[in-house]
Amino acid sequence: MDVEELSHLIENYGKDVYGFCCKLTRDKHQADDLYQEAFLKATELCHRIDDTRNPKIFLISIAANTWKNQRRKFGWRQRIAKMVAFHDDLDNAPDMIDGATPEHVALNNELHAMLDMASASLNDKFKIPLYMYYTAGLPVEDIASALKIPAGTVKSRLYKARKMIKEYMEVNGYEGF
Amino acid sequence: MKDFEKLDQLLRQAISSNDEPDNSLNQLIIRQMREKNRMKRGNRKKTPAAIIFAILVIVTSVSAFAAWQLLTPKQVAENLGDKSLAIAFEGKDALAINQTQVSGDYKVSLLGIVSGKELSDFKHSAEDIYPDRTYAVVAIAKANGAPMPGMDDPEYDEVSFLVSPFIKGQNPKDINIFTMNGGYSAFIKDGIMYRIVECDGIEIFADRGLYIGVISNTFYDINAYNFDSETGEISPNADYKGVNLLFDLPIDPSKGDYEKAEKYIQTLFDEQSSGQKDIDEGPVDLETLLIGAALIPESVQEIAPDKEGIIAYGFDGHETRTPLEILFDEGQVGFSNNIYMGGDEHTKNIIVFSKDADGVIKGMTYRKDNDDAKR
Repeated sequence: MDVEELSHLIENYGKDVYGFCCKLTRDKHQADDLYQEAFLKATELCHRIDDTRNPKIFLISIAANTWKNQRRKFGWRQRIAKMVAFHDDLDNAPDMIDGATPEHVALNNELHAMLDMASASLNDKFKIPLYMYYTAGLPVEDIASALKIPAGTVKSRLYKARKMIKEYMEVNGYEGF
Repeated sequence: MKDFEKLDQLLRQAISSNDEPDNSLNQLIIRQMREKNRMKRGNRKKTPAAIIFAILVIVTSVSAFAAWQLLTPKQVAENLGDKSLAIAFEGKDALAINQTQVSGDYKVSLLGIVSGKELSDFKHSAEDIYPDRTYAVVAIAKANGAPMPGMDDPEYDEVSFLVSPFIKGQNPKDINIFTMNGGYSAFIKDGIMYRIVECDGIEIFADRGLYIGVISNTFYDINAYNFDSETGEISPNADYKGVNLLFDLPIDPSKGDYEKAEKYIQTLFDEQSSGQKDIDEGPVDLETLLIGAALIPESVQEIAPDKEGIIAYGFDGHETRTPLEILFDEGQVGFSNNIYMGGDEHTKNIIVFSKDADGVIKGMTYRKDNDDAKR
């Protein structure tokens, strides 16, 4: 792969890959690292990018695999950080059920933040296909190809992820369903 | 399904991302690729010399055969885009080791080690406190010659490896790569996994005896090595199922600094106990949250997960169904990782789960005035 090809990849897929990295890591520095690693690994494995395979799937799957490995690597530290989750104010949003108020926009933002928080609380098994689907905009078949699992399994994980998010929303006072 | 259609729409809006990479980040990637390409060209030029050398050593030693086909520590650092570290591995303080051991299905080579201040282009956050760092390079290959799975292969990291320094006289379960602010970078080249592991500087322990251990596990496994608390010796456990290699590090004992090392160990133990305190204080935060809240006795329910591992709890019209794995880690007892809050403008309901040592799970609801809503 030459510099021109790499620039082309960055230009066409950089935003989607970066958005996916941001959602997974929820930290700008980690997202930068993951994004950088995904592209650099892609340059090493450029023979795998061909006309028959969408480079976006390839890049997103590298980012997802790298993330899973890093999670394993740093699992020890994450265990310690976990308790901080108690402090999250977004867990407490009982008022957002009244959507049709003058503060509609603000509440809508809060609703999105709550959904974002709910999706972030899922484990990687559900979160990765969820972000591939909603954040990176990959169709189910491509997610199946990226994760090397059957399309039916992807559908089932997406279904369960949505179910858990719905429950999270309801238990936190959202009554819009 | 109507609910899910609505949720689907909401998710499309809520978890799409507007984040974009900085231009400087993209430029950095392009620059690193340019450097890699330049390095690859350089390597190709050197190939004939390497072949001649290989022909010479192939008849003399099998372990030397293994060594010539591996990258050098300098090349490993260059492959990871760390030019400063590559230079350090060629410096006078670097130690070329090139020892190979076989354990189970894997062949591991310890290639070299270097210690010092500001050796790497990539600064570790611990360097502000402990400026000295140690970097060691290992190569891991399959003993039967089959290639290690590439990083995009689903089998990559199916077998994880932990490479860690150990100190004679210190139990490896307490002082290892995790406690010594460690980390690693890895890549696969020609079917061989290369790793640079780094941690706080270990030369201060040179007068005691140092090892590099390699085990086939993500975390330190207490079954991998025997620790003799009287002699301080660490040795591989012969009954261990998996890789549990141990390399002696031939670092000049005169580089040891007993007092500095003792102080460092004490700091690590202090950090560990304060880290444990942080964990123990998790429930205290929950207690803070529960200040002014009253447990509703009739809300306490013993719950068993259903066949899908879902914990279903309901009280006073508030229901939740949550996967057990989200609530508790394996073996965890006490309060759950997640709690749930809801309520109205007057009251706040806090749903908490607990698990005791017998695995009995209980759900319960606390209730208190909703001061947030009043503000």
